[in-house]
Amino acid sequence: MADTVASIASLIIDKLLANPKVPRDITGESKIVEDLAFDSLAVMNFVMEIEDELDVSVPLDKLADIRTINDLASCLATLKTGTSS
Amino acid sequence: MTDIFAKYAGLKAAAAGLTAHSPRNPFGVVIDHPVSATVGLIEGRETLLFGTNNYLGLSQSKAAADAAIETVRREGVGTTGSRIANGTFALHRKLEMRLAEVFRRRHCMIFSTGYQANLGAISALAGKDDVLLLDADSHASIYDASRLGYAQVIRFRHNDPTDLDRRLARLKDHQGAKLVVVEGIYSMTGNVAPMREFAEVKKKHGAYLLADEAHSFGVLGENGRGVAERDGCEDDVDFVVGTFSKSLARLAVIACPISTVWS
Repeated sequence: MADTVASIASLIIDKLLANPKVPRDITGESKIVEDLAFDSLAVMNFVMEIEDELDVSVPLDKLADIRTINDLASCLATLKTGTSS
Repeated sequence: MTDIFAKYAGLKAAAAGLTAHSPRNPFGVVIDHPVSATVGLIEGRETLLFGTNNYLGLSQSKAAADAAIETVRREGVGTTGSRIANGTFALHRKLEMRLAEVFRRRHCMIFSTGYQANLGAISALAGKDDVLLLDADSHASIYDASRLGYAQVIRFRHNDPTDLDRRLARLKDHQGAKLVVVEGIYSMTGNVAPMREFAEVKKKHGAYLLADEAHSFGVLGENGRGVAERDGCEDDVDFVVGTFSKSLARLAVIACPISTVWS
């Protein structure tokens, strides 16, 4: 799987849409907390699911900067290619 | 001028919503005074206390109160200084040595609260080149300690040694130290950590293990040393943190390393 930001964003959106409570019109720009109505526990559980899928661990300080689905995808893509600082 | 409290508007509304449907503010319960270790006077009524951490009922120990009164009369009500300045009395050292003896460790360090023991120990142990691996259900003091320090912080699924194993495997090329932090008993759920399994995983990956036995000290293990004692894996736990505020009913804490970290 080409771990580009776009493909990862797509994976994230597919996983989110599997949850019937998630709005159907989410995009890469959707905000994880506000637009998905995820509380911190839900965010943590969701990130762990994606970590399992992509076989990466997202450090907590990186998580603090993530607002949108694209932010998360971008962070994951960086971790997968091993170019993070 | 920006209202500094504006960011709490949502929380304030949520709290108001909660108390609107309740005869009292659940966060504002006041115990006028304790009647016993398990009963308190609340709103003039004797009330059973199911929410304390008074596991051995020692908060009302007469022997402890008498010893405290005698000590205060002899030594005063405070040291008025930090431990490295003028704040170390012989009693501090005696207590630390006794605790180290109880836990069969070489050293022990006392803090004023268990919260501070975690802040101090965890932020100092894991530095900027190291990685901290925390159980997802960790207490706030452990999360705060991880933010206070400079280590990279990774969470693993609660009580899941397999997930820890997976995450440590991802760090196989990492040069710095890896410190895994777990609790003996988790305060909100009462879940007990599979300590032996965590110990096996940390050994496999050359990591260190810190066990916060705050809720398990005095409660589990034949000698009350916690989950690590119960599981027979104390030798594999590199650092143990505990507190006096639960089973021992008094504020003070401990952080006991096996190895010589502090002289």
